[in-house]
Amino acid sequence: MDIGNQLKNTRVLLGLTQEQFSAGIVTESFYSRVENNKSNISMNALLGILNYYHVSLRDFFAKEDIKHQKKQIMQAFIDRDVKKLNQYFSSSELMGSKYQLEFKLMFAILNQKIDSLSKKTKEEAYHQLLKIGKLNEEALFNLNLLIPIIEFTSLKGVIDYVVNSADINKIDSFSLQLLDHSLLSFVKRCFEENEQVEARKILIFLEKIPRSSNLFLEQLLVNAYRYLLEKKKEKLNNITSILNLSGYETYADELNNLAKQ
Amino acid sequence: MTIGEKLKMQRLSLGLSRKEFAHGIIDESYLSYIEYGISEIRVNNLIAILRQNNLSLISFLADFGNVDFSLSFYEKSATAAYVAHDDEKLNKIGQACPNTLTKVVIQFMYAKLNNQLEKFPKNSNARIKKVFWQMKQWNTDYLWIFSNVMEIYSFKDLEGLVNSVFHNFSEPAKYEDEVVKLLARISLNYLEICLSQKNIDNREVKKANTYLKNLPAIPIIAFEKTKGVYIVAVHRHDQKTVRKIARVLK
Repeated sequence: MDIGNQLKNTRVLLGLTQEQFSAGIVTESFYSRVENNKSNISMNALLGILNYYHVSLRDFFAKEDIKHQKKQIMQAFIDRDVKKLNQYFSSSELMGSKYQLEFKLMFAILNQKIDSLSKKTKEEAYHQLLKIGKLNEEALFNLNLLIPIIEFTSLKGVIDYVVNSADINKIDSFSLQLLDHSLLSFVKRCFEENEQVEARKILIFLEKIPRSSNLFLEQLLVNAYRYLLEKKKEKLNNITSILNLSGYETYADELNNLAKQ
Repeated sequence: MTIGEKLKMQRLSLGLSRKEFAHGIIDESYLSYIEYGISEIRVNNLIAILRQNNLSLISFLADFGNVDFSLSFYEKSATAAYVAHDDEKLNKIGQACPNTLTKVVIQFMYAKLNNQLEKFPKNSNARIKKVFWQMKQWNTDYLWIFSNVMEIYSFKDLEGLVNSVFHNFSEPAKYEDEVVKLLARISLNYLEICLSQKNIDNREVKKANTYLKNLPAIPIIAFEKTKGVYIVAVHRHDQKTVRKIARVLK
């Protein structure tokens, strides 16, 4: 971690000089060397300074927490960024080995090679990831990995549970994005399996999700799926046209492929 | 509990020896001094040890300081409230926010939302600008602040700062989603400001538009990208595109 830089940014945003910020906990000259990454500081001394000025430790250390790295991996998957996922997979032995199953699934899904997954892997996924008790970030993320893979009839039960337990208003922004994505992925599967009733049910739930600039794409897709169901070709074309204009061609192509079925 | 004691507790809960726990970072005897409070552990070593053992740093530090509130939380909530035009909520967030520059920026956002920018205290304006003079390197906090206060600058000054952002963040594919979102907001705001000038500088419009288009097509910035297409279409009197997009942008 670039401790010096982070200290400096914190200090500047508080509007303090180096003398003020060192707060008598360390000497000013030592503090200056720490800021310039020329000396190492003990955690005790660092905490002394940060606590004196009521700096949030969460803000200061967020990027160093292992949860941060996990979140980046989840985001890379949602963003369909295979390149980034590859980097995360190869750069961290820990992430690579502990989450081997998850990475296997992610690559298969993004590279559209689900059929290449062995029966053993699918069973492993089923047993390891289907622990959907509390709808926390991890559970919602795992749902995204399971939906393209699990047998449809088993999936229906899980989705019903999720839709009935999710409290949209209490969920945090990222979890909401994961939930939205997983349900859209399920709707897509419903189309592939010709399960229109299920699709309609989930779309009604999705339409209840509050509008936000972070979920604009997802809202467009919800509308697109609804037009697909109701065979409103022109309205659907309007959306695919917008997706193409904004640079989201892959999503437009997926919709067009579904429309052809 | 001291840091050393907690470290020992974590080590034992994993059933590891000192050698295993600190492998490759510090040697076992030094770790024992730390556990017994004879020596103090360096920040970078603590971070490395926790990471190696798949332990959350923030959870570890919860006993030693404030990990609950986070300025980042106020920033994100304020942005959401602003975009939703919810001035009541924005006001509440501003009041709850600790006394920092973030609070000042949130108050600025509130003034903006209520069209009361002229009433915004001049010394607050100056305080915000001061941060950018002192800034040596852009980071997420500075990007957030900048994305919300672009109106305090004259177009000429704004041009310089925006180009500094574009120059320093020239590889969008590499950044975290949070940063990409801020870059999208900045380039979209800049595009809007450019197009609202009396004498439109087409080069700057093109720069802003190109930058926005070059950001990765990830879900979280679909709104900004679509709005960018929209306002350029309005500028070019491309009625077909305008009508098409207006419906979904409401």
